Formats: sequence, C-alpha cells, structure tokens
Amino acid sequence: MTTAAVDQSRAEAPIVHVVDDDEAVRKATERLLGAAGFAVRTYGSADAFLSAFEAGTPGCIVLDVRMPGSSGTELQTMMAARDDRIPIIFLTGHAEVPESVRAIQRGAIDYLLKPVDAPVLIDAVSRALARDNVDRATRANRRMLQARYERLTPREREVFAHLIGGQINKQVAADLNITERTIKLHRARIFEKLEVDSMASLVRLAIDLEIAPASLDS
Amino acid sequence: MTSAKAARILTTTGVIILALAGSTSPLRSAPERAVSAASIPAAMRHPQVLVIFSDDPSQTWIRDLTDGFQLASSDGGENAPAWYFEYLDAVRFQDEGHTSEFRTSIRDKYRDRHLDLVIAVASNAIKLLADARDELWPDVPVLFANYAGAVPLEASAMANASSLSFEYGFDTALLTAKAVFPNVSTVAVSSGSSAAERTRESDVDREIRRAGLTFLDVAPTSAADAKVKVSRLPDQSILFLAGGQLDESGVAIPSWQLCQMLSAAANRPTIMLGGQFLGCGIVGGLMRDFVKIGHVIGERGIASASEHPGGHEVVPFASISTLKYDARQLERWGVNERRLPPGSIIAFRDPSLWRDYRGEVLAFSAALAIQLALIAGLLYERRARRRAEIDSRRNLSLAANIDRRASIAALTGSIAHELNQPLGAILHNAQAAEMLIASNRATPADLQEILRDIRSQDVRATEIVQRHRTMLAKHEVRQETIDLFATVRESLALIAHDAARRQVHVDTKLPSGPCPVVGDKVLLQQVVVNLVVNAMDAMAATPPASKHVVIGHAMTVESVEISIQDNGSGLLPELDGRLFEPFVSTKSDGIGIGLTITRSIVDMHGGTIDARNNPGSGATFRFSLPRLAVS
Repeated sequence: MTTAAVDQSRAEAPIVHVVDDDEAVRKATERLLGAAGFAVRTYGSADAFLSAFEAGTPGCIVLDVRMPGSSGTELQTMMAARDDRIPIIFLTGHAEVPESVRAIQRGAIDYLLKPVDAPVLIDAVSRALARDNVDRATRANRRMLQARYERLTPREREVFAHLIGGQINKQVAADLNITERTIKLHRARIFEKLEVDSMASLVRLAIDLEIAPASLDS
Repeated sequence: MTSAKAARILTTTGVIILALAGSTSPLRSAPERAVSAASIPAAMRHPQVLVIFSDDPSQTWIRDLTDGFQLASSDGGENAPAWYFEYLDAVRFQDEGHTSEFRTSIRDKYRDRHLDLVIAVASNAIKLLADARDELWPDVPVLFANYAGAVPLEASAMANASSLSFEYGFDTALLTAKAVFPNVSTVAVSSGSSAAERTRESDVDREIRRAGLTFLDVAPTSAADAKVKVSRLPDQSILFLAGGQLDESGVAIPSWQLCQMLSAAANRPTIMLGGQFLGCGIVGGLMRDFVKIGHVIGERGIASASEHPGGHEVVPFASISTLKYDARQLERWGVNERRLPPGSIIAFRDPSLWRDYRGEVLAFSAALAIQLALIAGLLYERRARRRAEIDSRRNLSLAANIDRRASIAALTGSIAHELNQPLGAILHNAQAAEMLIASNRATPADLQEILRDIRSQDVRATEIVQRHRTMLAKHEVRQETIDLFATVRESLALIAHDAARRQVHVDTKLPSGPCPVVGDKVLLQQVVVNLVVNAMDAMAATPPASKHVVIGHAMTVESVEISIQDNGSGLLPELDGRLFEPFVSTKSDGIGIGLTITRSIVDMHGGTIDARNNPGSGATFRFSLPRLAVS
C-alpha cells in the first residue's frame, strides 16, 4: 500500500523553490542547483512564492532569511499556518544563533551561512527532498485509508465502530438490534471494502484514522 | 451502577488492547487492569491530568513550572494531555478550614472528569493528595513531585503511585559561589519562619559547614529588622536568601519583592537557589530552573498517564539547573566575568560595541589614541608658539581622516556582509560551470552567460569596496561647488547596509532637485555618516519596530539645513552645552571626538550645528550651511 503512495509522488518531479531578493544570487543558485540535476523555480520575494506555490506539490524551499517585505522566518510561519509542510533550508548572511535555533525548532532542515559551498547546499537540498518524500508518502497513505473508509455505508460504519470497540458479533447484534447473521455479512463487507484481512489490521486502521470506538452505553 | 461504571472505564481506556489480542476473547472486568493498559487509546483520547500546586499562580516559579508543562506538551505530540491546574495556596491560607474547602471544591469540580492521573507538586499539595486520595480518586494513578526535599514515605508507598524528588543542590551551588567569591568565609542565611523552612535551614547549615564555611543565621523579626541586619553583614560573607515569605503584621511579602528589598539593602552580594529570581538583585550562580523542573514533571506525567506507571526517581540537580549571572550585580560587587565558571550565561548586560567588535574596536582605539596624541601635540604647539602659519585646515583634515576611518571601520562588519552577496553569486556560478563541464553538459552559450554574470558580480563587489575606499583615503580639504542633497544621499548609501543589519529604517525626506553649496564633499559625507551612526547608536535599546531615522531639510534664502532625527534615548541633560566638546562621551567605549570633528567640519564650511531632544522621544541634530547664491 505504501508503494502505491510513493509511486504517486514520483509521478511529479520535486521542485526546489529558491526565494531570494537578490537577483544575481538567485540566478546563481538556480544555475548551481540546475547543474546538480534539480528542477528549480525562483522567486524575488516571500509573497511572490506564496502566490505561485501550489500546495501539496513535492519539493523544498531554499530561503533567504533577511528580505524586504515578508522575511524568511515569517514565510516559515505562514507555511506552517497553511499546513504546507514543505521542508525549508534557510540561508543567511550572518549567523544569528537564537534565530537559527528557532527556525530549526520549527522544522527547518538546515540553517546555512552565506556564501554556501556547493556540496553543502546540494546535500541539504537532497536531504530536504528525501524528507518531503517520506512526509508525503505518510500523508498519502492516510488519505488512501480515509478514502477506503468513506466507502462504508452509515450502517457499516456503526458496525465498524463496535467491532474496533472489541465487541464480538453477538454483542454488536444485540446493541444494534439486528441479527448476528447480518452482522457477519456487514463484517465481511467491511473487511473487503477496507482491504484488511484481520481484526488487528482493522484496529490499526482505526488508530491511523483516529476513529473512536463505540461506547457500550450508546 | 458499579458494573456499568466499570464497563465504561473499560470502553474508554482498555478495549483496543483486547481487540488486538483477538476479537473473540471474553471481556475482562478488572478496572485496575484497564487503567494501566491505557497505551493505545491515548492516541484517540487526550489523557486528562489534574495538577495540584502548593503555591498560588502569581508566584514566579509556578509560572515557570506551568511553562515547563506546556513545553512537555508540545514534545508529547499525540499524547499531549489536557492539563487541569489547581492551586492550594497553602502558605497564604494556613488554617485547616481552607484545606478541607479546597478538597470539597476540587472533588465537586472534577466529579465528571475521567482523570487519568493526578499530580501533586510540592509538600503541601503532596500532603493533601496523600490524605484525600482514598476519598477522591482511589483508582486513579498519582504522581508526587517535590522540589523541596524527599517525597514522604506515606505518599510514595501508596499503591499505583510514582514520585519525583528534585535534588536541593545547595552544596553544588555553594561550591560555585565559592569559586566566584574566593575570599568568602561566611554564609549569612535569611529564611522564613515556617516549620518546613526551619527544618531546611538546618540542612543548609550542615551544607555550609561541610563546605568549610561559617554559618550565620540572619533571623529577622520584621521587614525593617531584616533590612538593618543585612546591611551590617561581616566582610568576606555572602547572603543566601533561602526563601520564605517574610511575615510582618500578618501580611506576606511576595518573594520577588522580598529579594529586591534585601538585595538592595545588603552590604554584601546575595544569592538564591531559584533561577527565576535573577534580576531581583541577586548575583546569580548555579540555580534551579523551574521551567526545566516543570518540563521533567510534565514529561513523566505524560508517560504515566498514557503508558508507563513509572517508579520513584530522584532527579539530579545537574539536569534542572542553570548557570546564570546578573551583569549589573557583577559590576556592583566588582566581579570579573573571567572568574565565572565556563558556560555561564550573563543576563541584563548593556549591549556593547566592545563585546561585539572587540578586534575592530581595539584597532580603532589604537588609531584614535595615536590621533589624540597628534591633536594634543598640535594644539600644544599652536598655543605655545602661536604660530600663525599652522594651517588649521590641515589639522582638521588630519583629525577628520582618522575619525572617518574610525567610522568606516565600525562599518567593516557590514561591508563584509554586503560583499557576501556578489561573492556568493560568483562562487555558485563558478561551481555550476564546473559541474556542467565535468558532466559534458556545458554549451558555449551557457558558459558565456555564466562568465558574464561572474564579471558583473565582480564589478558589483569592486563598487562596494570603492565606495568605502574613498572615505578611507587621505584627504586634502577642497572647496568646490557640490550638490548637498546628492552628497547626503551618497552618505546614506554608505551606511545603508549597517542600518539594515541593525533593523533601522532610514526615511529620507529630501527634494529631488539639486542644492548647490561650496565645500568639501568627502568631509560633508563624514558629517552625515557620523550623525546617522550616532542616531543609530542612540536607538540600541529602541524596539525594532520604532527604530526610525528621519533625514529632513529646511531652506531659507541664505542657508540650507539638514536634520537627522532619531527615536532613541535622547541627550543627557548633564551634557547640555558640552556635547560638541572633545572627550565628552556617553558611550562606555567612545572617546568623544566624533562630534567635535563633525562640528569643526561644519564650522569650516561657515555653517552651524546643534542638537536638541525631541518633544516625544529621541533627539534631532541639525546642521546648516550657506547656500550658494544663484546669480
């Protein structure tokens, strides 16, 4: 199942987004990363990036910390608020320790001092893309499970909630006021639709999707 | 009723583990099993944790502790619990009635909460929970945390209970203090009058003797008495404030105010064990960090609430302490920072050019010292011999050269940063070209473009260097017609990068047309650079959002005035009228010739200069020059 998710993200080539207000620096970085084999897009400001970026596309950001308009750290905050968990590599002209610690704590991949030597930058970009790939696979897997769950009818969802609550067929039948035979049928359908083959996988799926079991009282 | 309740507990906390074990296994009905097997459902339902603090929430350490809990929460991710904080406030409300009312009130308040854990923090809350647990929450696990001694046995021996005791750490703290104050032979101790505090004082006494020092009990009877006692401490002593909310006519003085009062009155340095008190007047040292303590309790709470019941642990002082000093107190007691243990954090320090640019400052101080000797020599010579032939302009030129170099040198850090941009672009272009060539992907057109960009970035770097070199060059005074506004703008370009680095916004309000004056362009640039750098220095303590320098102008028929307005600390009244005199400086590292030279240059141009505080905040410097009559 994870293989499918990874394949899906491979369909689109990841893009390295370079955000820097200095045109010459921007172009040189684009050229360098392009020569290293990455697909690169450049932006002159944080706002230009925000209006052009399509949420959910694979990639990472190489970001200048100090820019006129929205600064690099502000962009990081805005991306977090939009829940775009694309990895960020910060570039800075001077090492501000508190700022770098804050950026790393908020999930930045790296905080590099300008001028950055090519191997260091390329390594950071490769790590960022690898992490993005893993993050995206995890999210895609969850979306896939969610889609399967959506296939269940309201009745099947009810039965599902009782099953993961640890009830045996007889109890579920009593609770929902239907025959045990019908429960068995529902149960088979649920296993089929959710593509699981054991009770344990069913519960694992419920945990992944954060679905609460039915309470005995209800 | 009881069986329905048991079933519900089981449903909310224990069922998934059963489901994993197999859907056909029969329901188990032992509630205590269900409670301890709460690991998996924690992902679905946030644990409910009640924390009872002994003290009231206005106390600094309680605020730090709760910050620590929140930190633990953000580390906890999916397991982050819902914290419920309650405060017994036992020091201020000591009668028995209060405790029983508090018990009743939390019992009612949490009646319908299915608590996963109850934490009691510090001795009064521990005692309360140990007494009330059987009545309130017999089946809920409890965690006792004490930072003022060991957790009492009757609490820690309970079923389903775990505990954290934090090392008091006074012995280590004392050794650190001894290293900083090597002459100290006596430790005066001031603590509160409660029973717990008296018990602790005997521990403190023992630690002091063990460290080879003399114990001196400063047991005050009132605030006034305390002030007198601490102002008469023997030489070679330090004062340890062991806490205690001093009670005078029934009113407790908050610890922070007590510390402020005693530290101010004391004739010797004071220390405390709580890091949250740094800033009230204590010197500092190895101290407890209650954020760290809160973090440890919070982490253990999260683990206990969701999976691990936990045991009984003594948390070492090293993992909850912080090494911090107050710069103002170090200065007050003449402690050299070099004597502090490695890794010390120094708070409340004034920003200093010396600390940030030690190398540069040394070089320029040397240059200025030589210059001062020169100026002094020349002035002496002139006065002694009254030699009319000594050209004052050459003196000024010489002095101005040095001052200009000093200003530029102060900007060197920012030149380096500005140069990073073209240098970085050149580096990346060159490395890109190498990679393209190495992989046989280089086309002549690509390479040509890369080389062209490298060249243009090289020109850019050269321009940056050139711009500063003009200011650094030796200079003979010139008299020529120049555009004053253009001159001001060029000066602002010189400091632009430095201004950006200091987050200062420079607002230029000059008209676009030219303003001809007769004078020396480089010297007038120096006037503007000096005044703007001076304005930025004055705003060191201004919040970044309001760091503004406004460059304005005013014209009359005969003269043109340039104003530099800042939003900084303003001019000191005691400098009134002496601001432009040599060797007058408010900066700890300044020699005080910058403004003198600035005025000399303006004088030489037949102009005037003055400085005044703004009606609101900050000051405005204005200089005016005669306009060139347009005929």
